[in-house]
Amino acid sequence: MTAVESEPRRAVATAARPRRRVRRQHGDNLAGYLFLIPWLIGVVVFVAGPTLASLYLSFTNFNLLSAPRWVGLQNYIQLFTVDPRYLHSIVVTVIYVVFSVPLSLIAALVLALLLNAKIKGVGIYRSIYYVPSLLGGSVAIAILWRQIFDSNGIFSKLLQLFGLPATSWISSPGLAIWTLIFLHIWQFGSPMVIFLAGLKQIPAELYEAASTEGASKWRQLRSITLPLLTPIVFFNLILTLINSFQAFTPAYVVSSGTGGPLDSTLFYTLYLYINGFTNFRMGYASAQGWVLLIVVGVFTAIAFITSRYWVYYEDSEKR
Amino acid sequence: MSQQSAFARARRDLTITRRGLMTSAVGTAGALLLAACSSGGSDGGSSAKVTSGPVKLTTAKLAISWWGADDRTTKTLAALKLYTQKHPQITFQPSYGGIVGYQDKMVTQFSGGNGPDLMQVSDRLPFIANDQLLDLDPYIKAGRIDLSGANQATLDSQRVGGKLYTIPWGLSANCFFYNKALFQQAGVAEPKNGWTWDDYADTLEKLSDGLPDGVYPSEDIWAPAGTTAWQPFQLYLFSKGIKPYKSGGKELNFGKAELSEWLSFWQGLLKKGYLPPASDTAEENAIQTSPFVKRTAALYPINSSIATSLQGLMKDELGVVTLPTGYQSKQNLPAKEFGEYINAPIIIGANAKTQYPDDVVDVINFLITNPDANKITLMSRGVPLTQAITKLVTPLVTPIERAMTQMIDYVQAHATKNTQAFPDTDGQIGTLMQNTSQSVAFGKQSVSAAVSDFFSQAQTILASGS
Amino acid sequence: MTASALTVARTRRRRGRQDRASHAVLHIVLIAGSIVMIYPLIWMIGASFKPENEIFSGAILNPFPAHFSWSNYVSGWAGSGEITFGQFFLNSLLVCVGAIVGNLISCSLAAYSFARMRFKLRGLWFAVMLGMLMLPFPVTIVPQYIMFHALGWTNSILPLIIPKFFGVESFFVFLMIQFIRTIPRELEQAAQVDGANRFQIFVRVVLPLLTPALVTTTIFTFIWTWNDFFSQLIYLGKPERYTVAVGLQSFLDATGQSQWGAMFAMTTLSLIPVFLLFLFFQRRLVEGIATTGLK
Repeated sequence: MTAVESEPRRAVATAARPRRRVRRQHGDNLAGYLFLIPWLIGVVVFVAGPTLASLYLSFTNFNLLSAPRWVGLQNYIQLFTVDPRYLHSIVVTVIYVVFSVPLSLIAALVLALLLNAKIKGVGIYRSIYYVPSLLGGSVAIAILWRQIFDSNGIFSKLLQLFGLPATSWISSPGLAIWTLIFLHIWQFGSPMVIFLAGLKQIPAELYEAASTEGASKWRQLRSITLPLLTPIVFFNLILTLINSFQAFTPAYVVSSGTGGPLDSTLFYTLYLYINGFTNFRMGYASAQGWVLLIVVGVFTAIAFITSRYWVYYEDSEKR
Repeated sequence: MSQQSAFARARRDLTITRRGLMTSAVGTAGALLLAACSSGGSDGGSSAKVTSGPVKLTTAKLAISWWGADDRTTKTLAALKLYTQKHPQITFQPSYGGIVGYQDKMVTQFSGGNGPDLMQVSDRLPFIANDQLLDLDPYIKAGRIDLSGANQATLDSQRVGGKLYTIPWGLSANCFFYNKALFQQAGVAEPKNGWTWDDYADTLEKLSDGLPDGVYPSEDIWAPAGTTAWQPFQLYLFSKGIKPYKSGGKELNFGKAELSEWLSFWQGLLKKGYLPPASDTAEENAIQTSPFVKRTAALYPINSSIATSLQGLMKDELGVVTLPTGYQSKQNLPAKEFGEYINAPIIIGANAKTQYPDDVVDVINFLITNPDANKITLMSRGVPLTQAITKLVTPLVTPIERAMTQMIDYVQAHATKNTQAFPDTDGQIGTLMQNTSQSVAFGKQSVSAAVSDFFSQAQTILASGS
Repeated sequence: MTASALTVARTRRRRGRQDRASHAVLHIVLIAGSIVMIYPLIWMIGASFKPENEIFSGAILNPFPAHFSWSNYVSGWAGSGEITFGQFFLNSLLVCVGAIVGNLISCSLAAYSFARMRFKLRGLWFAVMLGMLMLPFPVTIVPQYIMFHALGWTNSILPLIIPKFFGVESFFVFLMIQFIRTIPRELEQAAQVDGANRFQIFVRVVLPLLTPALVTTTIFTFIWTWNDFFSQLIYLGKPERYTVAVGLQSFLDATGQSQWGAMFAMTTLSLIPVFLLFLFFQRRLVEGIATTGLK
């Protein structure tokens, strides 16, 4: 143990030496797999079984209490032919994703930049801005959100100050989805923290050098911060995208599991859950799950392809 | 210690773990099939060889599950403790908690062949349809569960395929709660058990005159935390002598005329301003967000099981009456046309695969019929099933619970044999009905359009059932 | 050296005044934002001190109780049945600590492999890793339960902790991959030249540089596990094992008596540990060990 005690310092001392890069395609087979062993075991033992089981179930009629019965593609066909609620749940989810993903990411990034400043009480501010995310999808949120967005709620009162009519946002079929989008934005804490952590990864000497050269704050943001932050932006984008497509808790909690009013908050995963556990149609629900997996997979793949053009990796071998 | 050996050891450990776990993982899909197969194969309990007379109970630890807040849980635990005192060989592994996720947990456990011996159920039909619950009839016939003094119509409403798998663990029914202070303020007489829908409409009209602006006479029938539209409509059908389903639950037994009559009735009340606008009603997702609790409605259609909670949320004194029944008459209807029956959401059933059927049955009998046990549990699940027990505990309960008891008594005295084969897709028809009612109330659809949508979608749902 | 230091000093002095003004503006903006962010919480804390019949009727919007009372905390702390909320807190803490340790170890190992090594089928495994995030949870609940039941792990905390030691939380694996990729390779290469093996490089060079991601993982694992309801509900059969998330749900019942006040009181209490944890660990994000110390 003690033999390697001073490794990092020596590593630093030698950082300037010329690189000696081994460039073989599979040069790290042994080491790579050694590090991956725990993860591989996890995949095989804990993930593969349930996942494959759910794939199998998607081709069956399975009511959870009797043996599954093979029905081939029937579930998949039904989804797209005779189930208007399913198609509706797709529309609701797409609206949610389209608005909540960019808005919450922008909010998180802006706040992370502001709260990265060296000002007094920044720790308190961060904690306060993170508080909504601490609540997660707890029971309390269900009640709080109703209070805020009903016709006598604080939100409606605020709008009235600006001369808008008092409406109950939570209970109007056209507006209810917005209360959930707001909820998502309000809980931007997680991406914000990841951005903050990412900002800390950017070497301070880059900023010092830039200040010395007289670069403005704005200029520093554009040429240092944002480019170096792109891997983290990319991470947040991918994860927020995946999570929003699967959003369940907010709608479940706020609508008491119904997706109401008039199915206006019937998220994809909520409808899937209702089918599986309320309607006892787990085979059908599994088919829904696998359709979602494919759709989200395609979107993620697209994001990865475009990332080549805008994500900057410090370790990029192209340099 | 060298890194090398640490790695080697880690690898060895992991390999061992992996081999052990691999078997199970690869077997998951198979296990799933097996578990499900075995659960499907059982015949719903050994019904034949139940002897009467005293039984020697086996030594056992029984798993028992229920949902409920602290009041119900503490009382139930005390009752179980009393049972163990009397039968020291039988102890319990209780599992309790909130209603959220309860059914998911139950279904998941049964799916894994790991259901509790005994449990509080709500959605019994899927469990019964898949032979997961113990047939209690033989035990009742053998006198091991003593249901004398229980209302026959109430028990019959629990029967599926002529057999009794579940027993109400406390009676409740759909009803109207009303705010006595608001009735007084408006100078309107309080409603009486057995009132009709015409009486209801009259009451609303009078209330409307006497109540201040912004306070509506009643909540809409689809109030989300309340009766959710489908059950009141079924009772309405029953009162007309129509059963909701036919062909063993494969088809609807009512026509477009009945549904549009019902929807038009509610649309009419809404247009007159007797009910809160749809968006006010939709603000409710649980009783605490209902217009009734906010004091903007004087009547509230909901199941009586929440009586204590509802009263606890409000400063005004509450009353409770039966759901109105009948339509064309202002007279109290004769018994055969009274549509309502006890539709208790809190019932008890036993696992068909329990190792200790004798013990389990004895515990059910104790919980339902033992005076000491019921003096502990009181009305934490609703009005007790048998008359003797009800008489015993009534003096010990709160005013709202006494009013609830009167309402239940009335329903039981007038209930007809509304036995009906319900499909296991009944819940989905309920959701459809809820959406149909909302759609009309929000003005998204005309009554006739909503009705034809209802029938076409109901057909799809019923066809998807088993 | 001295010349550039002088320039920096001069620039800083000039910026000092501007900064003070802009900081004032920033504070105002941040405080205004804080109110929006925290109002619902204030309301909830207020509600936790109100008698039940005051919470949902009357002056609902006013967070301050007309009749202040501790009784919700008393009845809430009594918990459910014979188990107090104190027990739920301990159970939650245990599950959280297990999950954190598991995630930190397993996810960082996997992430290092994915981020820095070239091996056969890497692309495939990477896709599998991300794919694990994409299947909605309800469809695997039942098969998973059957699997853990076959292992004899149901009714214990094992299903909530053991899988974390095998990197099943792809979120954190991917998070760490992205962070590792923001670290220049030179440091590791230098260590390699000095004769350090891969594991030594990982422990001595990569992990310290990865601190912000590790802190993030710690915070998130704690909070998400603390709030996770469904899996805890399904696997923790015995009330004496229940966690805070499960305990909170047991206050409400749509078919009987509910205790809203107690629910708000215990939700408020349950926020304290997570809030303190965040307050403590976010410092680590401020200080940022990162490459700054390595100039």
